[in-house]
Amino acid sequence: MQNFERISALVDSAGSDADRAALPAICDDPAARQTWARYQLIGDLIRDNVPSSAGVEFAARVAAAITEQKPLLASIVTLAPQPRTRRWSTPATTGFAVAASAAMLGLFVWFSAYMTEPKALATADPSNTEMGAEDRVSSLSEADYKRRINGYLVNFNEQRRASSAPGAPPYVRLVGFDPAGSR
Amino acid sequence: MGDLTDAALVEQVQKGHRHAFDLLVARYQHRIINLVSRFVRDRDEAMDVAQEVFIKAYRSMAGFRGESAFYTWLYRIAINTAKNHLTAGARRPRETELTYLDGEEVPFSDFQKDFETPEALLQVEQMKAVVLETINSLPSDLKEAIMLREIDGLSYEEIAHAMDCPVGTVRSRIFRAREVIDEQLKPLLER
Repeated sequence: MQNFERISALVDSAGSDADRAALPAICDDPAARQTWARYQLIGDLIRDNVPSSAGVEFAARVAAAITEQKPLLASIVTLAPQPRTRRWSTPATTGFAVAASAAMLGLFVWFSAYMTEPKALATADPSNTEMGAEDRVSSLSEADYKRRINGYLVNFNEQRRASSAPGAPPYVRLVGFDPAGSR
Repeated sequence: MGDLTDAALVEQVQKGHRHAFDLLVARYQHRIINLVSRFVRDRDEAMDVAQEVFIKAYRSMAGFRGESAFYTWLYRIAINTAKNHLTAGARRPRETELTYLDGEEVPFSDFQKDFETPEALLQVEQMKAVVLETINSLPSDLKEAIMLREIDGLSYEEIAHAMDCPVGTVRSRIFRAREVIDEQLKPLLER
């Protein structure tokens, strides 16, 4: 059984060092915790600060939710502080990011050329003033597409090896394009 | 950190004493719910956000260094959580907003009342009435001490000066007042 006068003083932040030293024991005593909560409630009721939406079960809900969090906090508390690491600066991640960026840039350049060239052809022919999407696709021969994409992939692989970016996934090296094997 | 009780409780939580956090929740729950309710109008959503505030605080306790008061830190978590909730919820229309699309200014208290259940309102009103009745029935020295503390927010030293008595007497009077009120309040909470 706790000394409830001590709890009253701690609620008012007027406790002595000895009162504060008793806090672990108060935390361990369910009756003391309930008394603490009621003393807080009395103050809030006197000041008219109790939202009726709160209900008496709010603190219990929080406590239940926190119980599920317990392993997480325990691991934080017990572990020694770790030096901060920058996740995005690891060699593996950087290598992959460089490779991915190069691939995206290459695709963008290729796609831009692919989309703009038929338009140039179209404007060169005064009789052909409008072009649909299908026309634009068919205005560049299939052989040209294959040659371009194959060239891009070969260049990309060579460039990747030259940069010796660490951490690039192994499967990148397997990417290629074989015109003879196309449909 | 300003409040020594809070500092001691935070220290206990950081040592892995989970029930110390329960005491902090009991201490600040109503302030946080009131704060969140200023941003989040729906009662249930406000309660969920308030709960999220405390869970976030608990998960972040290991990193709390006491450079500010605990409540200041908790307040910032509450504001950020409520704003994030509003940002996430901005994609969907709210009934409350649709009701007042004609531009009529509606005070927040009216919104709040819409979402308070009659049962909850009744319970709070009953508790308030019991507390105030009990305070009025207290001997004048106890009544004065508890009112100076809870309403005026005076420290024990200030109350001792105002009442011309030792600090230990103030401590004792405030406790006795609480004890009497608590006896009347308990049955309402046990229902």
